[in-house]
Amino acid sequence: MAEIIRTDKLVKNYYRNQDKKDPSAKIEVLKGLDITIEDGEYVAIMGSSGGGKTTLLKILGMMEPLTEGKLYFKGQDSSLLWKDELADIRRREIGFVFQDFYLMDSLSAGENIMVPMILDKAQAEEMKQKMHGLARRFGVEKLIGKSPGELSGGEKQRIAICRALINDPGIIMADEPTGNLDAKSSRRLMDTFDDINKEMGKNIILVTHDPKIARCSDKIFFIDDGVIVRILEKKEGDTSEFYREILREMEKMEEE
Amino acid sequence: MKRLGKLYQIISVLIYTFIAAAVWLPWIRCGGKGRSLPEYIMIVKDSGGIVHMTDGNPELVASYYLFYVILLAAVLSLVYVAGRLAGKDIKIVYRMIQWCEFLYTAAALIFFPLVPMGWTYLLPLLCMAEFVLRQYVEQRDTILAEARVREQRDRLERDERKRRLYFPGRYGSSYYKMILKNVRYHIRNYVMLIVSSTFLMLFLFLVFALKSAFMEIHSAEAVTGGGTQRILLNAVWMGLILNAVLMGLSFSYYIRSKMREENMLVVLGIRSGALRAIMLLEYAGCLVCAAILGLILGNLFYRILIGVIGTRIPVTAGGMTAGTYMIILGIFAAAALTAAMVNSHVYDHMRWSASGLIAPGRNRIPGVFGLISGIIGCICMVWAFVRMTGRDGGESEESQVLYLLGLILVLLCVRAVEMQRIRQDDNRYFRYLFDRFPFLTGFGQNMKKIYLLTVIAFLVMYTFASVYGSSAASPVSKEQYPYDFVCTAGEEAEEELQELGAQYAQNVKQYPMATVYSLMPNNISLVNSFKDIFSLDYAAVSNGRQALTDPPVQIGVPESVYLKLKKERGEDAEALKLSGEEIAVVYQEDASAKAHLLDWSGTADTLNLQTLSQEAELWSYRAYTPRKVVREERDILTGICGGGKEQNLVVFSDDFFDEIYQGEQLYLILAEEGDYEAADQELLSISKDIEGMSYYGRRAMIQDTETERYLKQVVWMFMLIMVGVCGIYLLFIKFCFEMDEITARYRFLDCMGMHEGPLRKTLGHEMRPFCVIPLLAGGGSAVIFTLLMFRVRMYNAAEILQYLRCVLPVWVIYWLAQWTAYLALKKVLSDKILIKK
Repeated sequence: MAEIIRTDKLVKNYYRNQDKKDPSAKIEVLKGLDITIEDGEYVAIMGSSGGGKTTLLKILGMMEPLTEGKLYFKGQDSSLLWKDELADIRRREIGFVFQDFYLMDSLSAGENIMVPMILDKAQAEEMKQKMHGLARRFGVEKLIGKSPGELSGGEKQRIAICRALINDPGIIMADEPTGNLDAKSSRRLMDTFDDINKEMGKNIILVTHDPKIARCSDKIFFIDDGVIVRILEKKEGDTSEFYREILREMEKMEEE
Repeated sequence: MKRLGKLYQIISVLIYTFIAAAVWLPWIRCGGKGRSLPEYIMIVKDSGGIVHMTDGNPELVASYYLFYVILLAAVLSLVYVAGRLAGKDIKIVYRMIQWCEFLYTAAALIFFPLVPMGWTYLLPLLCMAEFVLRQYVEQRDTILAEARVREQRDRLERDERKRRLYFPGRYGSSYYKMILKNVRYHIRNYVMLIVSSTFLMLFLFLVFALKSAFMEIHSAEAVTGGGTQRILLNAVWMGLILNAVLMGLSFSYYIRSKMREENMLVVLGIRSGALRAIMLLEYAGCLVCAAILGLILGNLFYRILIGVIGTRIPVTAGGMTAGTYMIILGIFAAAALTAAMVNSHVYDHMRWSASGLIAPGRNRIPGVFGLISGIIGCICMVWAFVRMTGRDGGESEESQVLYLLGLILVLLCVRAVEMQRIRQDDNRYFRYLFDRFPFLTGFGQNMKKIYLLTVIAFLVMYTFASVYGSSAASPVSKEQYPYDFVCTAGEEAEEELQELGAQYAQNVKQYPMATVYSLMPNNISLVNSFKDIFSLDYAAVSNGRQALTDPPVQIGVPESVYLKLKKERGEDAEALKLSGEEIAVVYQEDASAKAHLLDWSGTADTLNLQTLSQEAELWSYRAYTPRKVVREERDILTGICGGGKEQNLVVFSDDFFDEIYQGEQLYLILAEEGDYEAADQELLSISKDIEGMSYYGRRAMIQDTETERYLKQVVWMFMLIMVGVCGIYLLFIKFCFEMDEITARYRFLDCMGMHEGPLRKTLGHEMRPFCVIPLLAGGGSAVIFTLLMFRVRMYNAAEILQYLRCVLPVWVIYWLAQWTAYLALKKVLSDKILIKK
């Protein structure tokens, strides 16, 4: 399989009060990660709180610059790309789904879905057609005229998924997408992700701390204190053992 | 290249030959002739040396010895030229010539007197030109090669960028609809930005419009207090600065309020150009709206002001030139750009940060620094009080600025100590967390608003109110001008004035006097220098105010004359019993005049005064002698001149007066009924003939003073209202922009089970500091300053009552307006939070 994303000794530091001169202000969030994600993979990133999961996702999604190391997207070194090229990649190649949905309150649900296409200078007819198609597929067709304030958490998240898919990106990145949802909505959402991966053939990169959510993935990166402590891969047809392994790893991390 | 090198060598030889030969050109004027340097040196030698020739004047001696540096440069130039002609470039000599020229120019600029001819500037300029030419010749090839490489690299990068960032097509209508919908949704933020920018434009317009309207009306030269233009501009520049700050603040809120949406667009892949265009379009749109609104409102207010002022002063609302409009728009744009620049870090942050990744702003509650600032603040406040009551500052703006600075530092200290105490004790922390939330989480930001509101309260209740109140409380009366004409003149005018008295006057009193200068006029100060810049008083800015204004002239009289003058006014006077160089001062002013500051450099009981001055010595500090003041009083014995700044009476002992007396006379003339005009004309013609004679007439003075008082009342009342409105608007900016965050926080507390009563109480506690602290600190300070003002202006009970009658309504209205705004905001927020109930 072709390699989609690869990191080479990826390091990310934050500085308290943005004081880069003071060594004591440095917070090492990611400490030299080597990750490879291949085409069609469904990947989960798990780990303890504050371990660097979200930061990693944001770097993989090219929303945050990295401090050291390399990030290759489809073989291209991201450090050699201009900001507008990164913006183009985010718009066309990656779809984002966030825990707090991140919808624009001023726009209707339907318009929110169309935003990435609007930004891509698409034709109005084409946008509407695609929006209706996705809304139908994810069961939110009746909601497209409503404003985000009128929607439930699950509905908002499905709108966000439609938005992530509208430009037909190859990768969906989701940061704790079930964090604000009830069990039923979460299950439904995970089925949706599964469909997106299996039927639409898109890569899914998911940050979660919920083992039930993570077991849907093919590969899990366990991150603790900025370091990958284990990479767990699902063997063909061995879902229950995979789930037990996830639980064991989580317990181990909690003990440490 | 070779050709260029040859050309350079020729030019270099010519220049240095000229530098060597220049010493034989006329360098200095001596004995009515231009002398060359060797010639001048010989003259100096023949007359026994420069020290002997110049009586040891250090500046002249120093500048003479500098000529040897030029002689050295000339000799070195000869060596250099000889080397050049021999095909050698003696670099050390070359550098030495340049150092000599540099040293000479720098020193000559300091010791200016002996450098009258133009060579001082021409030779170094030639040297510098030669140096630049040499650098160019030496580095030309490298520079050109580097430029070619750079150009090629840039071209390649441009092509590459064009290829890789190719993004054809145009954004569809949905894109613009999206922007419009977003604007409509957040219209409140845009309106706040537009309103604050409108205020700025309005003030800018008023500054320029009033300036041009009053250009022809009696201005800085007016006999009365400050001059019309100055009164207007003094008032408006403060409003202008305040509004610029207000605009910056609301822009900062505006940009932060946009961050979430803009962040989302960045994550969804908006191109940087498009994002920039959206932001620019919105910001520019707001500014254009504000500019148009500001101009319309400015015109309206201007016409209203002119209409009101025009009832007393012959002034009409004239049009402004296109150039003036351009200047106004230019300043407005500069303020807008500054506001954008100050907040540009927010935009940068936005470009590279997605939601949740924005680093929280620094929230440092000062610890030791807070205590230190408190101590410094106390010192500043005490110093301001001392200045206010003493003679080394008086009722000046500096005292107020110093006090406000101190007050801000003390507020910072008090609040910081309180927050530190809350943070350090868990019990306190959880008890006060919600009440003090803004200060515990955003200390600096919230304190800035408190400072601004405090300053506004002080400005309204003291700075502006005192000018308005004291003008309104002091009607001009005939009592303030007991004589028809007050004239000061030397002996040479005596005959003509006696004739005038016989012809037109029913009574002419003549007393011996001496002109007394106090060291500095009381309107010269650092603040005034800034005011000159803001008031667009171009002459004062370019020449420096000190150089334009003469020291104020006071009238020196012996004690015996003082007693006579008192008697003339029907007052009983005790003998002052002055001895030696002791003096008494009679400030001739009414309650509207600022405290009698004759000399800013004096101490508590001395005044630096000069009698019998030569014109040239007026600006020399050494020419003023400190004199002990044994008594000060406010009384009108001859009349108020220059709004109380001039012709105050300095009473000397009779013996000392005899020493300084040079025949000057003070004439106090009461004209015959119906002869006033004729006497005025006669005095005018005499004063034109006789140098040093000056006079003023009662009628003109009363008319001028009435005009000034009226103008002050109208303008400062307008400013008072506008700045008061700014204070209320600042409260609105803060709470309207933060409304969503506050609402979310209190709804959370509501959800957590906080009852409605405590919820309202907590909200009140959170909001109250923004109303109570400014009103207590600013208002309290205003009261203290008002009391000090009563003391330093020597108000009597009747004057205090009259003043309070004018100012108390202003205080009450301001308090009520602020409090009402606070209550209204609290109600809006409460209703929003408790919407479900």
